[in-house]
Amino acid sequence: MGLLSSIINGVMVGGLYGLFGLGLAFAFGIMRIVNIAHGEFIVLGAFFGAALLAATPMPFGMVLVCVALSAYAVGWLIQTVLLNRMIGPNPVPSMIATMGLSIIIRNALVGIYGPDIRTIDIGPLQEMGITLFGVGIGVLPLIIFAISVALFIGVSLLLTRTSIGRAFRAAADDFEILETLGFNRRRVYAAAMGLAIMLSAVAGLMLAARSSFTPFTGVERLLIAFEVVIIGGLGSLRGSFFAGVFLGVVHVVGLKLNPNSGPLFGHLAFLLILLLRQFGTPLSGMFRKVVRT
Amino acid sequence: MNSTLMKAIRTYLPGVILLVALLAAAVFLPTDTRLPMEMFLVLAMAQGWNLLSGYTGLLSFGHQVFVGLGAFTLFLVINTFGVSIYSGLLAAGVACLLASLAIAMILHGQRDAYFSIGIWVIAESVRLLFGQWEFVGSSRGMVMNTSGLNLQTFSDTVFWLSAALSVATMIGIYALLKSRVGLGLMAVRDNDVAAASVGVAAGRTKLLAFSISAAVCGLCGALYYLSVLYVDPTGAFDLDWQIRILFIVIIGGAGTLEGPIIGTLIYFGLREIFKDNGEMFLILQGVLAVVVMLFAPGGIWGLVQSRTGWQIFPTRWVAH
Repeated sequence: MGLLSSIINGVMVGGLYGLFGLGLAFAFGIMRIVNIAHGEFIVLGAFFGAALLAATPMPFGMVLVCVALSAYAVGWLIQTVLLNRMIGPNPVPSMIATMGLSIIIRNALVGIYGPDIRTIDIGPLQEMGITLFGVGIGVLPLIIFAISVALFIGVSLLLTRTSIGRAFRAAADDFEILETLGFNRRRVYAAAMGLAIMLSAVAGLMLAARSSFTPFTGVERLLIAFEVVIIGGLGSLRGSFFAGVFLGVVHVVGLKLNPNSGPLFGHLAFLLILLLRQFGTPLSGMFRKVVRT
Repeated sequence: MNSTLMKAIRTYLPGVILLVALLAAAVFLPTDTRLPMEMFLVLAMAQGWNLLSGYTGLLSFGHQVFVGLGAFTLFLVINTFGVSIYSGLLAAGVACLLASLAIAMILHGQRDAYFSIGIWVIAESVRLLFGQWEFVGSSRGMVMNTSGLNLQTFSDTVFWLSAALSVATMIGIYALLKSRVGLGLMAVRDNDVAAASVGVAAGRTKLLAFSISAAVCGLCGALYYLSVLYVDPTGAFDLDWQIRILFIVIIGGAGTLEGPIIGTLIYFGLREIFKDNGEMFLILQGVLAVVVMLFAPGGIWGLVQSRTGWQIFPTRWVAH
């Protein structure tokens, strides 16, 4: 695999990373909730999808839809039952509660499925590849990338063209005004959390289809999502997308340089960006400009 | 004169009694010192983390980085230079102090969740780096070179060092909280803008708490891995250290000195009950964290305090 094909692969994984970040940014931007269990919901999407694929004859696309719908329900439920009781100026209670949730989900998955590395088998599509300009590209990663771009466009349309999308944006700015307009703040929050978990679980299942996962991968996925949010900036769809692509490329190229490094190079790149921002160097400003415009 | 003495007795006596009772229970009851040693160390870590997160409101999810750094520094220094464990411990503490300054530089100005998860990313990066670093044994870890140790008194030495560290941490933090600096810490947590307006150097105060918590966690990590004579990056930089500390402080009551003591007793009590079912024990920790956040965000001691007004370690300044 040459460098060029690593970069292309990185871009395609990056679309998924962008979705991880988008989900986290949704919950944080609208409700000021830092969902520490975000990574576990991403992994939960993979486990649920794998279980559906094994138990039913449904094709992968239909499984994706099923996972999306159930993830929305789970997000809605958690916001309604648990997190709506903790909204307020103090971010700590919801952080600790979701930390608790993440421990519960992670260890329940270990208890049910064991700690081993798992992969998803979705049939012949996984092995198919095409050659573009001399670079071999898998068909599945290409389809997955297309779906992630479509999801980004979909969310953008939702936020600008629908009333619930406008309510999300209003809730992020000033929930009191939103309530005077007749919206129920808690219902808007429940829908937002449903959407956040849905995006993450769908992206999690798609990532699982092209790589592997264990009950412990959630931590890594959460940190990626968080890095996407910080690099791309909160409340910027395009920022999330490009930050995801950037991290994806760093990951895949880093793994090519050192196959045992895991997410190390992505973390280091993120920390470097944080440091550069401290000193306000023109380089980081430039990067931010490129990403945000 | 007499009344000041009385006041001093009233102020300090309950704490002293509690500490002596804890020490007595830990020292005289069990013949195997491993569990009380671990309890002392975890309690000290929890108090250190509580100083930062409970008293300044900077919630850290990455203090496992100091546990691992302290342990690896101790092993490196002893194995390379053949120094005593005391010099090794000193090196571990200093290394974690320096590390905390470096981390503070990277995360400078990051608030709330940005700090919490930023330090988590750093902890993960350090874990991965140590897993790749051949000099410290990469993922296989390091075995302590025991030629310079007196193995006969070794376990007793480690136990007493742990007990001393735990008590010293408690007393040190208590004294700190009763001082001007401590008042500044709590002012910063409650409202940093208001604190700054009356002349509290919020940044410096937070940095102080961060460095102290880092050094304490580093020393505890060094002592813990010294007791087992073996350290590896997966274990020493494990998120479970952080979860343990967080659980203990949150359940017991963040922002109080009594809370972590209660939390430690509950944690180890539950662990003994669920000895054979590790996953169930962890799930229960998660459930308890959620339940406490729903019904008693101040933890168990916070609940007791709001009902009764009891204080074993009174850190608030009372007007006379």
